[in-house]
Amino acid sequence: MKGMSSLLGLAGMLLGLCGTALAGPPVNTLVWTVRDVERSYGFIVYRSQAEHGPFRRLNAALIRVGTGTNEYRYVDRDVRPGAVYYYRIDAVSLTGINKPLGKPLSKKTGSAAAETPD
Amino acid sequence: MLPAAARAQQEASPARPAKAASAVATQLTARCAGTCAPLELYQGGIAERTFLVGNGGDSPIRIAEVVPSGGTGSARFEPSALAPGMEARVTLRQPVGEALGLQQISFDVISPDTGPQRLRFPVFVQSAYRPERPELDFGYVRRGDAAPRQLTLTSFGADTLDVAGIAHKPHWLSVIVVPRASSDDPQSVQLRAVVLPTAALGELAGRVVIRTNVPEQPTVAIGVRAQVYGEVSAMPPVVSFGAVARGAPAVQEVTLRALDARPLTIARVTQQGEDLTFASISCGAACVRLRMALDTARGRLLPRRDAVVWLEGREDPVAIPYSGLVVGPDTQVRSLGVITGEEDIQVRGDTGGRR
Repeated sequence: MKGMSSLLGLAGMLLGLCGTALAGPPVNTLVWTVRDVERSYGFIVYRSQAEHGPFRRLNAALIRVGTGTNEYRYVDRDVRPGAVYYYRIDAVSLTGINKPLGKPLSKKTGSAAAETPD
Repeated sequence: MLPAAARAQQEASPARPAKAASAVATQLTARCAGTCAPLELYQGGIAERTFLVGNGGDSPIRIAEVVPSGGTGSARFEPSALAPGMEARVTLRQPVGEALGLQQISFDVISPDTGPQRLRFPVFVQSAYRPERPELDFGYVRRGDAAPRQLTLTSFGADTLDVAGIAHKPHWLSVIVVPRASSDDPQSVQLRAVVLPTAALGELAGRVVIRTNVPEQPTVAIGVRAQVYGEVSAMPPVVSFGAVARGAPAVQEVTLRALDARPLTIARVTQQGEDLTFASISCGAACVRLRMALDTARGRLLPRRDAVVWLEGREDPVAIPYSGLVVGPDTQVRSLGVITGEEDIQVRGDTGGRR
């Protein structure tokens, strides 16, 4: 995907985070792909202004697992230019169990894409 | 696979035609009012969905009542008398409880003029806490000597997770909230629990319900269990015979030891039913081995129940939970001997015991 330069792999899952180059207010766009969603129901995106939290949920409604796609996206529009945010995405199983896709990723709003964590 | 909305719409269709012979004359139809997508709720929430139930036939239909097919829901509907082509708004409400994940809620529209119309809608129940199914399992513990157990509960539903109080706990358990250190995660709390010296002997289970400052889900339930023993321990404390072929021998032994070193003699053993025969062998001054032989003459399921051992000169008996399954020789057993809180044996019933 254009603009997505960081990838985080965990249990077959990939996560990317990028800013947008479009005119208008800045946003942070999260893009992730999941190989196997057979037992998944959806995703929750959390955000913090510090690496270790506190995190707060961004999407009130779960981002539902779809058919025919393995790529998902969330656009965080409530951001301040220059501010650094940490994002964490949890996959939610059909039985209601949450599992993080990986470590939180940081993003400075208005900057290039996030760095790949170790 | 159908999209969720299409699936829900499909599920709202009649479960079975009303009065087959007069299906055209009197027929209820149902569709979601608005979205049919699954409702997302937190544990303890109330699911509410509105359907439009219509008269698709050519004679009047009266709705007598709308009742939940399970659970403790309620419904309101307006109007109750439907001329052909008319629709009633039927609003269903049901508490979702604590069961997590995707599930269905069902109600039946009852009418004297037609058969029942099943209204069904999906809900997805989530927890605002991690772990989603918190549990404190003390295992096999000696009364009065139980080490405390700790549980860390996390929620992203508040910047700082606070416990407002303990709404409920078993009388045999003490629970405290561990004060948070400055270096601790503010979105986590630690609970410390200990089995009280006054706890009864045997298997104990219950729930601790705590109130928090998480607005989406202000209470969370923690399952607690312990198997408490007194001056006499049993090893193993629980007996599973697993799946046994009919007619095959099935014997298990439990070693009872007196921790106060007083002599140990079995006076009698009681049980529900007549599944077991017992024998005992001394294994020392303060030790006796109980031999439990399962009657396998006929196939049956033995759900978890207790053999109660009464000991000479001691007031407290020792309860030994046991379970098992006696199966026909051709039955395919998929797994056995795996003890969980819910079940310990699964049998392939779909092949009738044969592949």
